[in-house]
Amino acid sequence: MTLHAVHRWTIGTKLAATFVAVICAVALLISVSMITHERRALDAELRQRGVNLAQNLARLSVDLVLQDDLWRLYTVARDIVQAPGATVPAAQDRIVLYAMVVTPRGELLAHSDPARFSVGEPLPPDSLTGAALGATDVLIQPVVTQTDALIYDIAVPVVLDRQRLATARVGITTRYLEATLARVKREVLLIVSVLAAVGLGLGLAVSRRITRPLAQLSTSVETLSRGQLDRPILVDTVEKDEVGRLADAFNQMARNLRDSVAAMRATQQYLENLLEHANDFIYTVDAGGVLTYVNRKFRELGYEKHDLVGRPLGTLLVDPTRGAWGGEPKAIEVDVRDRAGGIRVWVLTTSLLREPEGRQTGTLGIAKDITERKEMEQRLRDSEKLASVGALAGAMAHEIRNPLGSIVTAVNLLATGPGPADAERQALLKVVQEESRRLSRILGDFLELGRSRPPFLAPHDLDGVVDEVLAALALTERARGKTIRKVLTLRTGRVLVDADQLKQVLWNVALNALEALGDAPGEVVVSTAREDGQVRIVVTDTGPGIARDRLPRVFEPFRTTKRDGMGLGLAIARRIVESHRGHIRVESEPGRGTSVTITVPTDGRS
Amino acid sequence: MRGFTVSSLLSLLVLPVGVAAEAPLRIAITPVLVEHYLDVNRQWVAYVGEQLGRPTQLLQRRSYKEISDLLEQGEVDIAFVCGLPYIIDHARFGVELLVAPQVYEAGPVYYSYVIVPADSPVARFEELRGKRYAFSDPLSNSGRLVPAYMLAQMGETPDSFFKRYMYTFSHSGNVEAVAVKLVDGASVDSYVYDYLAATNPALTAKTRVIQRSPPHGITPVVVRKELDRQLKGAVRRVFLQMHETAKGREILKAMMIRAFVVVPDRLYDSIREMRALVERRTPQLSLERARPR
Repeated sequence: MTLHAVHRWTIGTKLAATFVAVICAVALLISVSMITHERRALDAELRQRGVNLAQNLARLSVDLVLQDDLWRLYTVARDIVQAPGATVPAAQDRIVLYAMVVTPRGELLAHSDPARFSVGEPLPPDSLTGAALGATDVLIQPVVTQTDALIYDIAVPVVLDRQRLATARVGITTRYLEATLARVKREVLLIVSVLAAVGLGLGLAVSRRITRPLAQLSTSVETLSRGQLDRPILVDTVEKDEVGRLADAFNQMARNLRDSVAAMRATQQYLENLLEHANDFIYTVDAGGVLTYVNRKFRELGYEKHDLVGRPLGTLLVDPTRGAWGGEPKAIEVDVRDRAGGIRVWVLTTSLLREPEGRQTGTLGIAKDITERKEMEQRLRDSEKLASVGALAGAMAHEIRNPLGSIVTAVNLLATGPGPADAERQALLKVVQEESRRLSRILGDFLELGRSRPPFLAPHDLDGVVDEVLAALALTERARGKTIRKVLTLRTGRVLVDADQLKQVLWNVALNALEALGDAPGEVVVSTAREDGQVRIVVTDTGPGIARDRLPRVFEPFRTTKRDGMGLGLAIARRIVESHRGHIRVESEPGRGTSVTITVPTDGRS
Repeated sequence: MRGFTVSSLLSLLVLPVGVAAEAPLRIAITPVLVEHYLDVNRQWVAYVGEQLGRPTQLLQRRSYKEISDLLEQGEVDIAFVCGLPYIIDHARFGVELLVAPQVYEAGPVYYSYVIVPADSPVARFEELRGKRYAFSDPLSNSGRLVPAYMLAQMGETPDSFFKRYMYTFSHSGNVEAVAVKLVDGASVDSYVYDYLAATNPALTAKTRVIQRSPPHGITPVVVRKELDRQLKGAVRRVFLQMHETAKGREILKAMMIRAFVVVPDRLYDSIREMRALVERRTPQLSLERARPR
């Protein structure tokens, strides 16, 4: 058994083993001491008993030797060996091996075993006998025989009046001692075994008390570590020791953990629900672009979760090179392929997923399917285009029909009939001339609207441009009876503009203002100003103003209220101003006139 | 102390009236008969007392010589002795025969056995020359006189024939001495030997009988000459009628005795003849010399 194996023991086993080891060690020490002591005591007792017996034999032998009563000498020797006192009652084990009386010359007078040791014969001389016969007092000689254990040969002289008559000898075997010791050893072994068993039981009982909650704790921790957090096995102990406190703390921890887990689960469930039931496509990809999550919305594309999770997002995209995980804050449109092979359009926003340390772990994508909207928008655009073409054609036809009708009528009058008078002819020709000019202007406007020429910027004196336009305007039919005032509060100086285009703008705006005055007398004021790198031209009229609901649409083409206008003037104006990186603004209040403000940068830059 | 006083008072009251007041009848035995026989002896002695209606006292001595002395001095009334002491004491101070037990069918006789260890090669008494021998009592007929007579016939004495001999003063001691091979042979009373063979066969099994003497008068019950004549008669009747009572039969059975019979003095003449020869051949072996030491 290696130490390694001991490490695997439970605390209970270790405690019990310690108990047993300690008890065994103590018991062993006590046993060794006991046995040693017992051996010494038994040995002393045995020697003493042997000495007593030998002395008795010697005492009894005095008369019998003198009387030469061999029979009674024999019976005395016999009784010493066979008497109940010469045996150990419990063991039925003779401790006196022999008793004999020997004359000083070595002749045997009596022996407890006369069959083997003939009375009257000399004893075989050996050192033992020699020492025994020479002993003047009690002599104990230990002898080790081959067949027996240690033997004490005890010799006591038989003396009368200082005269040595014989020697009494008794042989005591220590076999009984060994047997007794063996019995003692067996008893000690039994006691040690019982103690060890008691120790084992006690150790197990004590350790069980200690380790049962520990074992439960261990099981519970294992349960928790397997992730079964919702129903922790609580440790059951009434002890209030360290283990008990540990168990209590563990129980509290387990409950807290259970509650936290339940709360987390609820939150998770809630978030999952949000994600799953969101009306957007929501997915995550890892840093390698592989899908790690898709929500239920993807079913609308015909995909189940397991179809997508673990596959690259690229397989979903029509153009896999588009960075659908780029993390740009802007929404992008991407084309995706549904399971049936159809193309869907997503508007997709992505955000980078980062660990708390900042490392990117993937990308979150949220997308809306805008396929239908796109199609609808396209249809709308198409129909709007058609409608505006129709409106354009109608407006054009309408604009062209009146002057053309006048021309046709005038030309017919000129071509047919008896020939009008010269003045009348002149009037008819003027009509043709004016209407032709009007046609030309209408067509020019159209061309201007359709043409999108970048402005040719050159430094020009803005006040001069304004003067030029206002002077030309003052000569027109519309200006009759109207006041056109010029308020040039500051010198505008030279400004980088396309003078022709700016004239066109000013013309259109000022003409609108004159037209807004209608037949009633009124005033149009044009003011210029320069500030903060910009020039501002404000055209104000005293006309009836523009209805509030119409104001936002005044720059749209064909939104005119005038009988003979196409409603292109302001649209053209705005396009030109914006091509100059400027702004055009209309302010109006019904009954209080209208004010149009044109702002352009002085250096051609915004 | 209180109990002692009361019983002393009681005995004072009883003594003058009952038979208990009479002097007890003193009966002596030796262990030579059977060493482990004391209880049986007590029983028949008590039986005799009961039958007589007077107290009896059992006296045990180690040797015949001691009992002879007691008889001579009148200190014993009745004794179980050997035929040899009887003829000596009869001649010296007139001891009388009372009865004798009949053990064998042949009559109130017994024999002297020569025994050797069971595994001894010795087959005849003569082969025991130079060996160790055991006698019982110096005054025993079967245990001493018979082998001495046999030696005398051979012109030998114990000292000349045996290397060593000893007295055990009991026939059972002789059997044991042979059984444990303390000695190479011994003479024993046939009645004792047979009794032991029945009661302690393990002991006798270690021995073997190699010779049986001619029959001799068996050990008699003797009585002191001076004892009251009527009492003598009464005691004799008790013995002779013993086999007629249940208790008597029980005791006789335990003693392996058929019955007690009246024996004539001449039954012991064979012993007288043997003694005469031995005394003639070995005058130094005076019976008086053989006393227990």
